[in-house]
Amino acid sequence: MRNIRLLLVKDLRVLARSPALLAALVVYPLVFAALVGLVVRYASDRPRVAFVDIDHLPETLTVGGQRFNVPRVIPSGFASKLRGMVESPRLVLRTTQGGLSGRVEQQTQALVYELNRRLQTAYIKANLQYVNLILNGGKGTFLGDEFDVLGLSGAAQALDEIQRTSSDPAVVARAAELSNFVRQARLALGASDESLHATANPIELQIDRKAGRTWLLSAQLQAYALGLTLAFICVLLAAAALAAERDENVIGRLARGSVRLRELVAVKVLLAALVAIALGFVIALVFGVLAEVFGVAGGEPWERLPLLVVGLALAGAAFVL
Amino acid sequence: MAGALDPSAGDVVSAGNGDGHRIGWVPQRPAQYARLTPRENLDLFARLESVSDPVATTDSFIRILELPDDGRLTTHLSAGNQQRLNLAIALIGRPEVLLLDEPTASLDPRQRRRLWEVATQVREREGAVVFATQNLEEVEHFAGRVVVLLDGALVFDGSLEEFSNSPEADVFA
Repeated sequence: MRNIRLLLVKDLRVLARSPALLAALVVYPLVFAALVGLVVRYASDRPRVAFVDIDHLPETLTVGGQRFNVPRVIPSGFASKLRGMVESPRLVLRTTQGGLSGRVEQQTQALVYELNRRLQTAYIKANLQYVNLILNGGKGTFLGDEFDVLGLSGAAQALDEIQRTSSDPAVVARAAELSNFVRQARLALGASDESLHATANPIELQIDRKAGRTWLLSAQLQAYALGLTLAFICVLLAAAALAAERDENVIGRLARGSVRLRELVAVKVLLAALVAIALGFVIALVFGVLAEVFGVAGGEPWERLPLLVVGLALAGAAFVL
Repeated sequence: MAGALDPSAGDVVSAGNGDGHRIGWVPQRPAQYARLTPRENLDLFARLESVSDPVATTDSFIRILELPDDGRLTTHLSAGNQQRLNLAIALIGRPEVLLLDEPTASLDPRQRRRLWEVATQVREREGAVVFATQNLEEVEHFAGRVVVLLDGALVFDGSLEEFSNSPEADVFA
């Protein structure tokens, strides 16, 4: 044990006297963490999906009185069906298996879902305008033709007028029945706003997004960065220390003397564990400061630090073993 | 004999009580830590050899072998200083057997003389010095028994006097 302690102190002293190596030990994890961040960032990024416009359609499309800016996404015959608001137009996506196709499908589904949601809103709005026209009357257009609509309120007034002015009891009774129906119809159509929205969206998802944890400084990403960094550094450091001793012709002298080879290996394992603790601790502190500065909830490592020390030591030693 | 290489054949037998002997090894290429100072090297190996007073022993070897003690790292020392440090490390455990492999190859005459003065102290305290050299002058001055190897084969084994009178001495002269 005494030999291990002596050689470990020697290794730490040699390490401290190697400014280039120390600089690499500090800079490398930071660069590595940044690279890991970028990789994770782009690994989870959605692929870009583009659609080809083979019919050279206009860049804007008006549906249900609402303008849609959906350039280059609409296939042949799509627009007329969309404007008709009667038949659902169809988009066909042809993909292959494997590769990015799964994510392209997801991306396309998300795009179609978003278009459907916006079209839904436009359709409901247009339908409610028709309902409003039926309720209150006025001028309406359909397929470019303009027409006048009496509306249920106008019909009710006309029926009330008939009931007041007519002397024929049969006509008055018939008008009363119709007036009753018109009242019921107005009540029913008056509730069509909510029912149409409810039919379109039986369950409405409301996303309440607040500032908080981000992927960049999350505990998970910090663990990835620490683990990968130490995996490289600890192995390289231990290997470099042993290689240096071999180059300096010292291993033979040590092995011939009172130091056993397994003690020499144990020293390198301990060296890796100590460097892992020191380096990992510094990186964790940097992450913590950044998390505090940028207000990333959950990214602060303060409560994890005691356990982190144990984990770092075990990781450093394990990577060398 | 140094134990640095696995033997391909044969045994190394030394006299003694069977507990093994302390062996000091001076390889031709210095075996020491380049990024430690001479003092740190000596102190480390003294402690590894369980020397009773490593600090005093280190001071003593630095003084006797005139090693630099100004904080310079070993890698910045001259070849002669590095070779003397190499010798000092081999001697620091007070070995009973000292093995030297071409120890004076990179030393000037004064440093050679100093090295042999220190090495012969081992012999004077009932120890043994085994050295490999191509310098017959060193053989004549310091060897008691001569072994000649040619292409790895033993071609002569005898006293210095026998060697001086043998044809091999003329061949290697």
